[in-house]
Amino acid sequence: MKVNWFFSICSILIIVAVVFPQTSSAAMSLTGSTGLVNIPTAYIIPDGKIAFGYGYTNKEYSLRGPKYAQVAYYATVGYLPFLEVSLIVATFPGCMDLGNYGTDKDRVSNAKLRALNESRYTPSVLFGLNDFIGNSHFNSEYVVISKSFQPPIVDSLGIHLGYATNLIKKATHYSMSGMFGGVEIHLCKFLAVMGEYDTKKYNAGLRITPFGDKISIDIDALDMRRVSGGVSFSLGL
Amino acid sequence: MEETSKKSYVLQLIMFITAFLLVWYTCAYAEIPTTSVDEIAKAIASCGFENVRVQTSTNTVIIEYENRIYLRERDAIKVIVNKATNVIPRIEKLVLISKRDNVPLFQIVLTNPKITEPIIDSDQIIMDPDIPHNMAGSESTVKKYNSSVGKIDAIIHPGVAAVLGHFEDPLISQFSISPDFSIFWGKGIRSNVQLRFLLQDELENKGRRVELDKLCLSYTYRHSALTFMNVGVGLLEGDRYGVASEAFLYKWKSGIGIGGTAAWLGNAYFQDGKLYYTKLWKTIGLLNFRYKPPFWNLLLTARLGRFLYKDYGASMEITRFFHNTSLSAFVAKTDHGSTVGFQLQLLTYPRRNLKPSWVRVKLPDVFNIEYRYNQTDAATVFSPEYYTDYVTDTLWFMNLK
Repeated sequence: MKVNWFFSICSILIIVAVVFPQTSSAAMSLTGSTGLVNIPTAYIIPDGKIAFGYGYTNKEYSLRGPKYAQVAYYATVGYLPFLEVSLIVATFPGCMDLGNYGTDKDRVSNAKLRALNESRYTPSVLFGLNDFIGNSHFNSEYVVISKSFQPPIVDSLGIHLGYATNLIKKATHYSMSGMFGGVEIHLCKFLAVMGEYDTKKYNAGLRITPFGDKISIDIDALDMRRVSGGVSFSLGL
Repeated sequence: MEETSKKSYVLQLIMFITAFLLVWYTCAYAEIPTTSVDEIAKAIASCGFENVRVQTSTNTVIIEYENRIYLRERDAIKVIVNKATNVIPRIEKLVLISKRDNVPLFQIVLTNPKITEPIIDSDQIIMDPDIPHNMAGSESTVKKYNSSVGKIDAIIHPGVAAVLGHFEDPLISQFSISPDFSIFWGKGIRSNVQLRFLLQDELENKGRRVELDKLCLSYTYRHSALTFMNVGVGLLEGDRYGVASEAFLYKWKSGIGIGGTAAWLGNAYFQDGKLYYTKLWKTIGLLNFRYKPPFWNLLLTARLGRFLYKDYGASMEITRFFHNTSLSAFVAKTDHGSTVGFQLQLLTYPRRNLKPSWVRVKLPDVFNIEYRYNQTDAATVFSPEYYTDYVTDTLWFMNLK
């Protein structure tokens, strides 16, 4: 029921998007790829830019939850005008699964390939791979479309819809499976609110960008109740 | 009387033709006087360019130079063009030959050097890989300045090797400083002595020590067809001694390069004051491909054959050059295993080198950070890629807009 309600709102927003077209830029999600709270969007980091960041996921929704929180340190690069690559080290502070070798860690590689660039009236279309090398604790393959527009009152509004599958059978855990989507409302140049459904739960977030696209600070509520967050810093290569 | 006047007319005609021809040729050659050539050579050499040679023909100035001052080749080109056009404002054609150790790397023909500002982005650059090995013309008509022969370059390479992964903290396994002293002896000939001061070696716990890393002589030959041939003999890297060579054919107009690597190596090392060595038992044979597409500042590299640890297989690499960095991703598979990783190269200096002097000390142009997902000796490359890499670097520094 919840899902139908969510996608009905998204449908209305799509209609509004056609009336008030606009293009948008990208910021980092908790996972280390460009996106909202957890879900990826069809936007990628600009070509030749790199973003370093930190994402904290509350222990209730961590891979090693409910006992240990999840912390992601990442570097995301706009490697080509249509390709974004992320290298992430996910750690679980306090989780000593590896005995004498210390805290449990996982190396994650994500890639996003934009198939269609956003224009005034057409959305951006993107194919993505999450954690496709190694043990694949955060694996998923997805397609997502995104469109931004400029309605009255707010600065801009972005809508994102996608579908995730799990093609890598040897993966030990899948981060997304099924339909996902979200909205991002830029109230002003430096403040945005986000709402999303990440195939498992609803999340909300506040994104603050005090220095343009240089620094981004996220304060999120996973499942609308558990606080998480992240910070990223981007620069040109 | 008639006979005399006829002779006089013929004589006058001959004198007229002779005078005409004299004036014609004098005018033609007088367009760029020798003093101007000398001035250009001096002006360019005063900027710090080395192995400068300048020659002129009708309305054309040919300048050979070695740029060790400017990190970006396009900056070097701009300075040279400015200097040349300041001395002779009406140059119709300027030919620039960029060199390394007096061996030509590539040639740029500027058909309208008066416009210096948008020079790099314009279509007037013709990069010609088929450049002559020697400058045409007799030595007496060529002005030479700032020879590098006998001068010492000391490049200090800092090195850190760390093991990451399932550790609480990254354990530093090695921290070293390796000064590489090289002397240029003549066209394409260079000798290298490299020491390695191992400051820390936590994993093997060997403490501080000094190692001889390189003691070799290398020779580079350039031919218009077989673009580069580089041969190194001696202690080439670490404890490996022997002969290694690489030949590379570049066709930069199409962005394609193809070449081969061959090496015959053994192991040699000092212990307790004695020299130990093995036989020359290791052979390497690699076929190398390079492709530089005309977009996105990309370089694609592939190697195929027998690698350093006698393993057969292939490796592929994609490199994207950005403004101050380059980022590569590589994948390799041989019968010793497979590896995936990436490499980040950061420019360390705003300048390539100091001005010419007998000894120059500096850090390397770029600092490498390499990360491999798994530790394996698969597809380890051993080749004297000094020249082929240099051409790539030069183009990296030049092509960016």
